[in-house]
Amino acid sequence: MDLFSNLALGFSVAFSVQNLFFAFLGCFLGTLVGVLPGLGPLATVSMLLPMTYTMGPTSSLIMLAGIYYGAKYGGSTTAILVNLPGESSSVVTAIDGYKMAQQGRAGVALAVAAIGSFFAGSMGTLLLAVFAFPMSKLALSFGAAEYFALMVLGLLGAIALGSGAFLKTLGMAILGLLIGIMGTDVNSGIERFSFGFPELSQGIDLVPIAMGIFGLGEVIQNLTAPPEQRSAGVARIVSLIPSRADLREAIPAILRGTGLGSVLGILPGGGALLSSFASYAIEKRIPTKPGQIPMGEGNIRGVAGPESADNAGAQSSFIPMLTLGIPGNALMALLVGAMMIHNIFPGPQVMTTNPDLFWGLIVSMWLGNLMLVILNLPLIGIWVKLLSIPYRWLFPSIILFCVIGVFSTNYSVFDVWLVAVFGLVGYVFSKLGCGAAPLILGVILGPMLEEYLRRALLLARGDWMVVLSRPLTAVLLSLSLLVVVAMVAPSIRKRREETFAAEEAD
Amino acid sequence: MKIRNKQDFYSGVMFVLLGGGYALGAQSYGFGSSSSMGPGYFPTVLGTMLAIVGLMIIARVILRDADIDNPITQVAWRPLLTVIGSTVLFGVLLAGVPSLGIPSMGLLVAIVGMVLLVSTAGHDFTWRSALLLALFLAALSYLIFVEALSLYFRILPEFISGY
Repeated sequence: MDLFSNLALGFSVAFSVQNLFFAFLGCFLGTLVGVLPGLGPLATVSMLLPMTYTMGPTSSLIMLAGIYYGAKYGGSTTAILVNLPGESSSVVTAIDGYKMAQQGRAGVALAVAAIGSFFAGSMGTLLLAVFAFPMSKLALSFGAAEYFALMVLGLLGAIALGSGAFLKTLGMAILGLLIGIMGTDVNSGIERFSFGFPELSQGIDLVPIAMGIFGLGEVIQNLTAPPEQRSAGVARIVSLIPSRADLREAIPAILRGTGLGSVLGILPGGGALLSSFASYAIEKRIPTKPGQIPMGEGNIRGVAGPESADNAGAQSSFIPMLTLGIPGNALMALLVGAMMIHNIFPGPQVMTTNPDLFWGLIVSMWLGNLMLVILNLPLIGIWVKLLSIPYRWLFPSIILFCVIGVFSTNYSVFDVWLVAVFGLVGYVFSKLGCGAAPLILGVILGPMLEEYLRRALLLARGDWMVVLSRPLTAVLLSLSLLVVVAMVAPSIRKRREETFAAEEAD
Repeated sequence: MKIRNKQDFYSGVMFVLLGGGYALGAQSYGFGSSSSMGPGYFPTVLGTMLAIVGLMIIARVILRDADIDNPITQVAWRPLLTVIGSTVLFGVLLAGVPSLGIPSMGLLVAIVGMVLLVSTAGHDFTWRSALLLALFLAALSYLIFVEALSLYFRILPEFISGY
């Protein structure tokens, strides 16, 4: 099997009428939630997970992936036009993007953001296609012990690279693992922590947890905040075409952003958020030539770099999820959940057992990036109009779709109670400053981690040292230890806080 | 002495309680041995780790964060209770609670009831606009979920439809 025949298969899957439709639907919904402040991709994907029960696995993933990267495009649009980052990763885009809009260069900023995103998205997808085969081939040679170590490293890496205090995020991840292993133990058939509820004998589904924490949680947060003045001057778009000087400045920034985002996206927990912040930090350090606008005052690099990094990271964060079955961020965890709904166990074997899904998804992501350029540049006016939808119509609809969706998965009202419980629990977490993303990762990884550990220890006749001394396992676990040590070391902790400082400054 | 980093302190307390709870609860499941992990093995290990992480957070708050103010902000009772309450109301109206003698009211009543209740939490709430939205969403949901996706729902109240 070579890359070209695989891509040909991908094209044939992605170009089916049905999958083209779902890719478009995903990109459309993604742009929509990216534009609308107060509704993020996490909440949207959790809301739509139950709907995918009725769809095929390939179409489901194509649509859900489209929501993820589509939201990146939409988020930059409102960041530039109205200084409202529709999504957390476009916070830095708003700094220079909105300044450009105020100087009458909104169209140029939007065009550069779209070009950069498209280029970065295409490169990220290509990277995924090229790396997928060697990565999963390597992973297929892994035994249970290596998998266990890899998951530990993935989880700790995700904690280290995400925002938030290390110990608290670590606690949330462990709590997630514990929630994940509730329900019947596969080996002994004993029900764990079901508290006498027959509904809990299969454990707690990811769907009500994600809906309660992200769906309800987001609504409660937004209703608590003072009402926003959304109508405040939408910048007029004069011309979409960047000048030659603009391009000379933007293209190197796009290349830098793409490279940075692609690398950071592969790392667990890296993904998009870190990429855009890191790219902005780099662009800031590169000196501006005389006559150019300084960074922070409407420099085009401040839009081109972070937007490219954001999108490249979004695409390359699919690599560990698709090839190893290890989700690097909460959204990838939800996509793993979507695969499991259709009885596809994520891991290196997906590529051989479901090649249509694997390559179809990759090609559809590239197609989706193309659709997004079309959706976002000529149709920009429509999206801006959407900003005037009042929130009083939006939030009851969000809650309604959550509860109908969760009920319809099992036709069980118990799941509705669970959404309410996790809405409450999620609120407690947010009051205590505990981010929920590591918890979701833990819920997904919990059962896998237990099973791999059990198998590894069984093969080693219960000797932990045998497990730990396998060469690859030792390397992976030493890396994990290094991550923990690094997080506790003051100098690195300081730099990490600086990288995320821009988020709080806004 | 007074604890000022309250957010971290109570996070630590929460982790200690939950971790301890899981670890203790797991004791009834059979620990097994390393070579054949019983159902209680993994939850015991993880629960203990969680409790230790919680204790470390508490220790740090007491030893190091003596002058860091990190209070727990005011609970927004109204949005919280309305949103959670409307979710519960939807379940109660849709399926009924047989043990309390509450009949099932069906999908349409459940949607209208839920949307009306949750709308009261909005910043610019009016009955008129909320009612219009509720009716619109009821009609839309009927078309999407019942007609298009043909999911099985009780549409009308039990005592009208008769089943």
